[in-house]
Amino acid sequence: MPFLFLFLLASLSLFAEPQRIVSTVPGLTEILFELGLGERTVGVSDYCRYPAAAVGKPKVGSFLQPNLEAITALRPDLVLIIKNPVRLKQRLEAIGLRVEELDLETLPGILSAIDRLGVETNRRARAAALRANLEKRLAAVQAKVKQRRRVTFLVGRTPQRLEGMVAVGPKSYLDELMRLSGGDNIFADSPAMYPKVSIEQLLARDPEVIFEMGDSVHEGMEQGKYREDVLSVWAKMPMLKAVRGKKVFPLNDNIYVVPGPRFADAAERFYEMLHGGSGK
Amino acid sequence: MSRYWSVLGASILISIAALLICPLIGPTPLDFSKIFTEGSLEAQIFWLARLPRVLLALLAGGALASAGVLFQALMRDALATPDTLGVSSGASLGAVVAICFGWADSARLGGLWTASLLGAGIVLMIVVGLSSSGRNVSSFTLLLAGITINSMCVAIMLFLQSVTSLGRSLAITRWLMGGVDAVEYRTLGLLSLFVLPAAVVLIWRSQHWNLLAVGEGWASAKGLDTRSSLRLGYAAGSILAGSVTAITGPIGFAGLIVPHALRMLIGPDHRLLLPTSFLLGGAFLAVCDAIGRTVFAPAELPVGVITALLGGPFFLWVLTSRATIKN
Repeated sequence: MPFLFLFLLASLSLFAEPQRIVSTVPGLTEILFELGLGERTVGVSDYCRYPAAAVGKPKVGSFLQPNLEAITALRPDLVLIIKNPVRLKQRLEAIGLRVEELDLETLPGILSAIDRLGVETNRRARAAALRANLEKRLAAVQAKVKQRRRVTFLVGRTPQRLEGMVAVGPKSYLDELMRLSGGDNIFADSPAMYPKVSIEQLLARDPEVIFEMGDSVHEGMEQGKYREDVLSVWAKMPMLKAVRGKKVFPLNDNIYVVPGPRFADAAERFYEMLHGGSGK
Repeated sequence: MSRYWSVLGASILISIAALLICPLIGPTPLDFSKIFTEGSLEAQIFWLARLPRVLLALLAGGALASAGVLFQALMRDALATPDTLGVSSGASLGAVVAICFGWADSARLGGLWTASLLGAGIVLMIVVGLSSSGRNVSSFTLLLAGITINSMCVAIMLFLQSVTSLGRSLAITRWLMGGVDAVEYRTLGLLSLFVLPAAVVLIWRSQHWNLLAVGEGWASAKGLDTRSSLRLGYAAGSILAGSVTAITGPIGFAGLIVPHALRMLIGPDHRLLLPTSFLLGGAFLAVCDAIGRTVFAPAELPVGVITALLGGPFFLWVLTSRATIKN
């Protein structure tokens, strides 16, 4: 009798396993694929570019501007969203959908989102393995850090000019990752999470390393051309330590801007750019 | 005439004071004795970051304020601003198109600025075309046409922003926030090639705007060729607004409050109002930007935030105290 009960319980949990999942955020899509749920992912956000298998999936807008009609039409049994200011959970639940709201804003948030998805989709073991692997890689990067370097990460600027720059400030996910990789964010004291900064601040705080994603219009441009373009803009400021030391790194890979399970890749590359040598 | 020279002299002094003092204000404390020491941090910050920025603010604020004065006179509408004719939105649209289609991607072309000026120019031609067409187009019609052009430009910008890639849409959002930043001296040189001649023409023809501000009938009765004067006025004002917007992005409010505050303080005579607006509009924007780059350092506030928050209450105070005097 207890066996029958256990059997029933097990099959119930199998039935409860979501079969048609919609993800409205790139980071959550990446977690789903990492947990081996790519096949069951029936809809992704407009901004999901990774892994390649996610690109061809039906698009449902984004968590800020979801296409509710497209989501409903996919008949999902689980919709994944992140914390948002547009009351998305209530809106989706109002049309009878099961919604899971997760937090990807910080590293602990990403790790617990992995746990939670493992539970929700009955992939506990895979989730635990993924989490352990990420934690191990992060700890390895941290253990390697021998010295600290002053760094800034630019996420915005006027195309082709060192004007209208926007940097990564404190409390953000990238700030956390840079710190773990041995970088001291020169704008850690900013009152804004993503402060608008000017060349004056860069001259005064003179970072040793600059991570450059400011020219966002170059999205998808060929890497060599992109590097050349960005570096030519910085060549006008040879008085900056990072420019003199050839430590301006033009980046245009979305691992840096998608909070998700590839954060360990980002940390390893941060380490390599900050200190040289391998981050792995 | 002595009042004329004392008011103008005071404006020149205030403007020079802004030019001398504003570069000294900023988030980084500077040892000013080292400003002329080559290679020192003080010199780099002063010459590369602060001075160009203050010069841009002086030019931009002056251009926007004097364009505001002019448009208010030509349209005889208190709410007319440099944006009213749609020239600023034309400039913004040009920039947005450039970002969208990648004309801004090449370092050599300066595509953003060219496209922006082109956008302002196209709107300007529509406006001047309307104002000089065979039929007698009233300033009211022009005002409505400007509002329509504005809405159309905004609609196209929103459309482009929603179909372009995430990266480009971010670049557009940043550009539309507007603001004064440390530009290259070459950019300043180019901007002054547009702004200074246009401002000189405006001030030169002040008497014409005095006549037109009363009414076109009155002006032509006084022997003024109203059509060519209007055309000149709209062209010069649009060049001022368009070329500035091409560099700074949209900056609201400066073109509205500076002209009105000055009109209340020194009177409506354009011979005095135009030069003082140019001088004090510039000083006002330079001071606002000095505040914007300092209060939340190392983060900066777009200058539009300060112009509205600081200028707004002052403008309300001028409005109400003026009303009290009248009563």
